[in-house]
Amino acid sequence: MNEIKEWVSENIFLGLEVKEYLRRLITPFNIVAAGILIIGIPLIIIRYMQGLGAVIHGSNDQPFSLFLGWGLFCGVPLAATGYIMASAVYLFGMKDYKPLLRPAVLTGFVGYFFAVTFLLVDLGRPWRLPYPMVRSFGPASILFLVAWHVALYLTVQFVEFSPAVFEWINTRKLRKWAEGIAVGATIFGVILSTLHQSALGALFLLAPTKLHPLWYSPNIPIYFFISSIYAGLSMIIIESTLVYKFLPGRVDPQNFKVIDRLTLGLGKAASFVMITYFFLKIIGVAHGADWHLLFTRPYGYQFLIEVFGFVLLPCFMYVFGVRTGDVKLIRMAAFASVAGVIMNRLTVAMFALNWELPHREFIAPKEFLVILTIITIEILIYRWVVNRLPVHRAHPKFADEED
Amino acid sequence: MNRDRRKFLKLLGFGTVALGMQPGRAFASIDDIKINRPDSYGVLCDVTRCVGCRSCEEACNTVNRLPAPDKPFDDYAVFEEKRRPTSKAFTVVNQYQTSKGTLFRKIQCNHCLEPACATACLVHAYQKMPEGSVIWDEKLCIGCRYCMHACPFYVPAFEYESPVPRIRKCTLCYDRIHTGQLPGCVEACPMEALIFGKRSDLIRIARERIRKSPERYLDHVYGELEAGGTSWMYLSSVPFHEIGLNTSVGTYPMVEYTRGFLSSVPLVLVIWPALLGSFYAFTKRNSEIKKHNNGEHKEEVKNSVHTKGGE
Amino acid sequence: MALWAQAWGVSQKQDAGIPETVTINVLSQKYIPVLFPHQSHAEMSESCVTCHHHSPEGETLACKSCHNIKPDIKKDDVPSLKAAYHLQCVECHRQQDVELSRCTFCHAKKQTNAKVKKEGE
Repeated sequence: MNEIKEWVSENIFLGLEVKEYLRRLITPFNIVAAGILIIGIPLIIIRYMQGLGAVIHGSNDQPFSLFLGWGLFCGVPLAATGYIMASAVYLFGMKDYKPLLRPAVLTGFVGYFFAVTFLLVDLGRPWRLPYPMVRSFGPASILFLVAWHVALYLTVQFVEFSPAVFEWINTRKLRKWAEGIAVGATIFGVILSTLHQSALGALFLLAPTKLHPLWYSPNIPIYFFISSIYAGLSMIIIESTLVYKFLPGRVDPQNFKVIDRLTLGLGKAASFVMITYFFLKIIGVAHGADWHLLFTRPYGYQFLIEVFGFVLLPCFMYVFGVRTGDVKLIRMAAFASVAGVIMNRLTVAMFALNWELPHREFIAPKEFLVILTIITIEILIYRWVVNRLPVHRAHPKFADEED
Repeated sequence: MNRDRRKFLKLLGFGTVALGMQPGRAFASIDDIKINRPDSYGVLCDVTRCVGCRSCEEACNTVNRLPAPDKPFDDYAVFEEKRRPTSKAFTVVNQYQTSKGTLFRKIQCNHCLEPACATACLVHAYQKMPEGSVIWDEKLCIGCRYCMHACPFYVPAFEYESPVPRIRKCTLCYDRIHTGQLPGCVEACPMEALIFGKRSDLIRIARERIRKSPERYLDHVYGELEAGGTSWMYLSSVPFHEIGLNTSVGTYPMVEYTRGFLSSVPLVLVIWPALLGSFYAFTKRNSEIKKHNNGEHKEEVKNSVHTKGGE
Repeated sequence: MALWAQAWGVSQKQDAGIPETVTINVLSQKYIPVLFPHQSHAEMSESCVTCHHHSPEGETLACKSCHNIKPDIKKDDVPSLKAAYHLQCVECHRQQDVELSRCTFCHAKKQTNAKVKKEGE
C-alpha cells in the first residue's frame, strides 16, 4: 500500500505535496486553457443532447464541415510522426534519432486518439462507432478501410508506445515483450499508415463532380500519402521545438547536444519529400490539362499560393537551412510546411469541395470553439504524459537497458 | 531475430489472404446493368408536362407521414429560390427559366442502378432492392454522412436537428410498389408527367415519345446512362443543365472511380512487408557486420599491444 | 395534341346540343367537382374535334369513353382520365397566364385536414 502511495506521489503528483502541486497548476497557460474548457465542454454536451446541428456547421449539401475537416483530415497527417520515426530507427537503422522516437510515437498516438475523439463528436450516432468493425461490413467503401486501419493503427501505436508505459509502472517483463515486437509492429504500422493516409485522399475519388479540378486527380491518394510523410517529419521538429523550449526539465540533457543535428537531418529528409510532392502536383495539373484554371479567381490563385508558397517555399527553406546549418530556419520551415498541409486538407475537404454550389458559409464560431476545446485537451494530456513518462528522457531504472 | 522473421512471415500470409479477399464484387458494366436488371422499376418524368402544381410534393408528404411544411403546398412563392430535398421533404419541384420559357423539374432520389451512396456506406446501410428502390437501413447507420458526400445528385438529407439522426430520402415508395400501388407522387400527378413501370419499358416509351414529337423533346433520356444508369429518368425540351440536372456526371457509376485505389490495397499488404522486411534485414545485417569488424579490430589492437608489450 | 392559343373569334357553330356548363365529377377526391364553362370554350375553338379528338364521324365522344381512370403505360398515347383532362386544359391555360394554371383556378380544394404550420407554431 505504501509502495502504491509512494508511486502515486512520485509519478502522478511529480513528487510534490498535493497542495503544492495544485498551487503550481495556476499558470497563465492553464488559466487560458481552463477558460476554453469551461466554454467548450458545455458545447460538447449540448451537441449530444440537441443533435449535431446545434454545434456543427454541416449542411445537406456539404456534410463535412470544419470540424471533421480539422479533426480527421488534418489530424491524421499531422499524427504521421510515429510510423516515420519508427521506420527510420528500426528499419533504416538510423539509431541517432533514438531521442526522437518515443516523442514521435507519442505524438502519433495522441494524434490518432484525438482524431477518434473528433469522430465521436462528429458521428451522428457515435455509440455505433464499432459497427464497421463488428456489426456490418461495407467493404466497397473506402471509409470502411479508413475505419479499420485507424482502429488497428491506434492499437499498433499503443503497442509501440507501451514500453514507456511499462517502464513508468515498473513492469520489466511486459516492457521486454513490447520491445521485442517493436520491429513487427513498425512494419505493420507503416503498411497501415500508407493505406489509410492515402485512403483519406481516396475518399474524394468518388466525387469527381464535386471537387475542383485543380485538386481532383486519380492520384489524390498518392498526394495525401506523400504529404503525410513530410507533415510527420515537420511535426517531429515542431514537437521537439516546443517541448525543448517549454518543458526542458523533462528532456534528457544529452539530447540538447544532438537535437540541432537531428533537426537538420529531419529537414533534409523533408526537403526531398517536398520537392517530390511539388512535382507530383504539377504533373497532376498537366495530366488534367488544367493550366488555364491556374489563373482563375479564387481557386487558381489559392492553388498557386498553396503549392508555391506553402510547399516549394518551405522546401527551399529546408534546403537552405540544411546547407547553412541554420536550425532556426529549419524550425520555421517546419511550421510553414505544416500550415501548408493544413491548408491543403481543408481546401480539399471543404473549400474546393462543392466549389460550384452557391451560398456556402464556413465561419462557425461554435464549431471553432469546440475544435479549440478538443485541441486544448489534447495539449494538456500530451503535456501530462511528457511530464511523467519517460518520453524525452530515459527512465532511471531502465537507463541501462539495451534496445 | 527469429521473432521478427515469424512476424514477417505472418504478415506475408496475411497479405496473401487479403489479396484473395479483395472487394471482389464485379463492378457492373453498362451491359451487365442492361442484362441483369431488366425488371427493376423506375419512373419517367416528362418535364414538358410538368406545370409546377406541387401535387407530387403534397402526396409524398402524406404517404410518408412527413411533418407539415413551413409553407403550404399551394404557395407558389417557393419557386423564387432553388430548393433541394430535406429531412422533411423527400421531393421538391423547382422552377427554371429556360431557353423555352418557364419549366419545372421534380427533384428526388434517382435510385441509381449502382448507387454511390451504397458504395460509400461503410456499414452497408444502403441496399439496392430488386424492385429498384435504394433503401436506407436505420438499424445500421452510424451517421458518418459519407453517403451524402458521395451522391452526385445531392439527395440524401440528414436530421442535424436530432440527437438520434436519420438519413431521409425518397424510397420510390418501396412499401407501396410491393402491394401493386403506384408511388405517391406518380399517382398524384394530374398531368401524368410521371409514369411508373419497368425501366426497360420506360426507356422504350421515352424513345417513342421523342420519335413521335421530335420538336417537343431533346433526343436524350437523362438517366439512361448517367452515373451508370438511374431508375428515375427525365425527358426534356431544353438542354438538361437548363433544368438543373448535372450533365457532367458521366456514364460511370461512381464506384468505378474508386476501383483503382481499392485494388492497390492488397498489393500494399503483400509488397510492403517484403520491402520493409528487407530494409530491416539489410540494416540489421549491416550493423552486425560493423559490430563484427569493430570486434575484430579491437582484437587486433589488443593482440598488437600484447605483442608489443611482449617484445 | 396540345392546344395552342387559337382564334378567339366567335365562330359560327350549331347551338343545338352544346351544353352551357359541364360538371366534371368523375374524379373528385381532393378537389370539388369542376363547373366547366363548356359554351364559352366551345366558342373559343374552331370545331368540336379540337377537344373531342378522335371522335368518329358525326359523334362527339365524352372523354371517359376512351380515357380510363387507371393509367396504363402499355398505351402511352392514351393517358388516364385525370391526365387527359389536365393535359387538354392546363397546357393552354399556362400559355395564357400562369395564374390560370393553378389548381384552385378551376376547382377549389375540398375541406380536408390540410396540414399547414400556423403562424408562430
